[in-house]
Amino acid sequence: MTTSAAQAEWVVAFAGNPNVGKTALINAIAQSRLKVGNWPGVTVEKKQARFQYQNTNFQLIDLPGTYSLSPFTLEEQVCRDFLLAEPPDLIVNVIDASNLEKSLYLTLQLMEMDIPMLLVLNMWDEFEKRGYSLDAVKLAETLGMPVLCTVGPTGQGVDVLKDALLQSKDLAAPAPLLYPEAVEKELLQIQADFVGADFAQGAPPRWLALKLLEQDSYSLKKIEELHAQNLSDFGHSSREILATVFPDLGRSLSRHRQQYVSQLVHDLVIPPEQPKSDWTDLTDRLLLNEWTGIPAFLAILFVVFKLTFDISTPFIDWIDGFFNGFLARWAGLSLEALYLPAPLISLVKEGVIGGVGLVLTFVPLLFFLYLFLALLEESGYMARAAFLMDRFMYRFGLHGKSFVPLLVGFGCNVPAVYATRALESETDRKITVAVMSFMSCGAKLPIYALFTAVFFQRQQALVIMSMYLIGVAVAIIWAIILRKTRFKAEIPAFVMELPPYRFPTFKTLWASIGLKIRSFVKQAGTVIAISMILLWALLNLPYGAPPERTVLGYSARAVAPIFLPQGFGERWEPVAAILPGFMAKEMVVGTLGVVMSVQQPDSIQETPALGAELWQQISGLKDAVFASGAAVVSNILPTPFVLEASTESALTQAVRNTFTPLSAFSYMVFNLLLLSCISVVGAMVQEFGGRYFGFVLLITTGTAYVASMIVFQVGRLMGWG
Amino acid sequence: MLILNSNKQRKVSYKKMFINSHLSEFAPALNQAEAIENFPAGAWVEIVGVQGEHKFCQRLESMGLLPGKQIHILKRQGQSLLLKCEHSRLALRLSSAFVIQAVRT
Repeated sequence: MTTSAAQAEWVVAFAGNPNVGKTALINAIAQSRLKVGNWPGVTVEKKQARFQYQNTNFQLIDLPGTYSLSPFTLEEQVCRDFLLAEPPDLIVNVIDASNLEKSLYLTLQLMEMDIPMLLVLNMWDEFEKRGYSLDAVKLAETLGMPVLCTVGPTGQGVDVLKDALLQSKDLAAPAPLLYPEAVEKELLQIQADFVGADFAQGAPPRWLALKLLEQDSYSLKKIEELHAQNLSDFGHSSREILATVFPDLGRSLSRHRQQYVSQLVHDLVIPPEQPKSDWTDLTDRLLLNEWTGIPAFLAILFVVFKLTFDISTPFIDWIDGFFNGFLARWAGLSLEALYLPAPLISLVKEGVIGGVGLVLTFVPLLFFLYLFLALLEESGYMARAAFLMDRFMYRFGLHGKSFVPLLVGFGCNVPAVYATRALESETDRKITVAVMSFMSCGAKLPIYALFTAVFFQRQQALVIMSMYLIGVAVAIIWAIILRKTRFKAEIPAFVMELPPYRFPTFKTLWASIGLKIRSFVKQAGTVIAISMILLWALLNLPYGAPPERTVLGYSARAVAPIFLPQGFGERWEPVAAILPGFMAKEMVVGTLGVVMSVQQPDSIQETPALGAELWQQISGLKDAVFASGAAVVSNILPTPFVLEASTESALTQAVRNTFTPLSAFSYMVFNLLLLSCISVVGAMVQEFGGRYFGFVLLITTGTAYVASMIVFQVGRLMGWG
Repeated sequence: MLILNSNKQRKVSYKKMFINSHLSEFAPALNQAEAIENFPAGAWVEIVGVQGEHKFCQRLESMGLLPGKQIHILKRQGQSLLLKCEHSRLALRLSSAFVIQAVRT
């Protein structure tokens, strides 16, 4: 038994094919106490839960979905590595009862790991509805392990499973499948060679001998890493001998497993006399149809994004007002009452409270986005969307599933980073997230609104549209470049399973959303909040100095000449707005206002009563709930967006005096292609690590610099300057 | 380590054991087989071989695309194929579908 901290825990790993309902089952057992993290060194989610049942502590680990222990995807590698490096006390092999043959192939491989096992036939209701029946007792006898039937989402059979977990302590590992006599003889021969070797203590010797025969280089490398031992000398002559009979031994052995499974299923499963019609096929006829598929996809996505942004906006506004209005003001007043120095009060108000507030404003947006994405994923539609879009995306070296994160990026890049989790391959995720940064997010719109209102009043919509198109064009170019250079060696062959349509339950959706939101606040939130404090220092130190004499002012003056080729380096003000813009694109326009000395930061004029203002906040939240509810019913149809700063003001006047139409366009292109905000940085670092983020930062900043330079220089040559 | 002269004996006996049972399994059907990308949507086919890059073939087989299996080609859309094998629906790109050899049933 594995011991953890002070108390002994029974470690149970749940393994199975993707989409068999492992997570829902763990949720049902542990009552939604799932915790999410990442597997060490990779971005594959690690979900685990601890629970106590009849005085026994269990740790349940949800292994990533896998078809085979000969890894093809990162998830499969993670699964295999875990079983080798930290063998659990028990494997619960969850299988889709309706897809017995495919699922049992993995079962046979797991049986070779020499770990006690339980077999759970999940989705049992679907299996019975289809009119199938199965001799489960015979299956248990044949495989040498207990077999249970469950329905994860409804919790049917979960109590029996809990009891089985409790009784599993006396369970022996199942006997592995026997191969042809010649192979078995050589396996014994190799195992005899292992005697006395250290590594054989860690890995099951029979399994290791099999991997040597199969020449499964990945597994062998893993064992060599774990035990610092060179394995190449072992099993050499056995391989040579068997090669005369089985030219491709690895395939022959896997064929042997498959034939065994086919025979087993043939013997034990009784199919219905008349196969029942499958509603997944009927639905696919409409949703994957040549003519209706794409319009249905676009309609579904439109509703999803419209609802996400419309429903969450009232909550975002309320959180923003609560932190930056109510909380900041009262914290300021309280600190003033304590006679604390003004810079400290300003730091707490604008840096700390503003930073935490900024993190929390993303929560409603992420909540609804995750809700709808989980709905698409759990219902089985996401895989269909990927299938539909693959015909377009593959031309640019992208996967069909990349389409959704890219589209989400137009709303907000932060959830888009997390939406890349739907992609199975690490390479696809990395390319997608890099090019997603070029999708113009909603926060960049005020910049376009200001500049187009000043310089391109007649062609405002056209110029704004051109920003989006430039972003898409640059994304396509980078996708092609990345696929042909950095990720050249890693083009995965595309094969994907489309799961049957299923009604998601509220419980599964909630579990998935709650986990992700908590992880965002904890991990990305830390980076964002700290950066906000740094930004405060840049804008406010030395405290009380005019904008041009702050750290930001001095730095902007020093850096401004770099932007001469882009046409906006002659004045320091546009450059000064870039850095705060890097924190949040919403701040570009605000900072321009401050540094051009046309507007002052908000100040507090009066001191209202705390009780009254608290009541105002509560009723504000109530209004947000109603407004959000109203958005569901009334806002399905597209509404034209209202551009801010469309009227003449001191700011537009100052902008007119600072920029020319060409340098304004170049400034817009620069901001378009730059990373959106510090929150995206937080999300990218959390998901892909600092190194890959550094690469994305380099290509986005480099592209922004070069592209805006090209725009300005070409424009000047054409005589538009 | 193994002793060499016993290796020779083992080789001979294994050859006798397996020569007829292994390789020739689907050989006759393979002659008439075509890559699965050549069949139209709606066709019912039987897989007779999965041959090509080792890892990818193993992947397809572990997803249920095995010799002897009946496949319904549900759709050919753009560059992708949608297949139904037992109760699984699998999408794969035409560019990688050539590894599956099949005959019409």
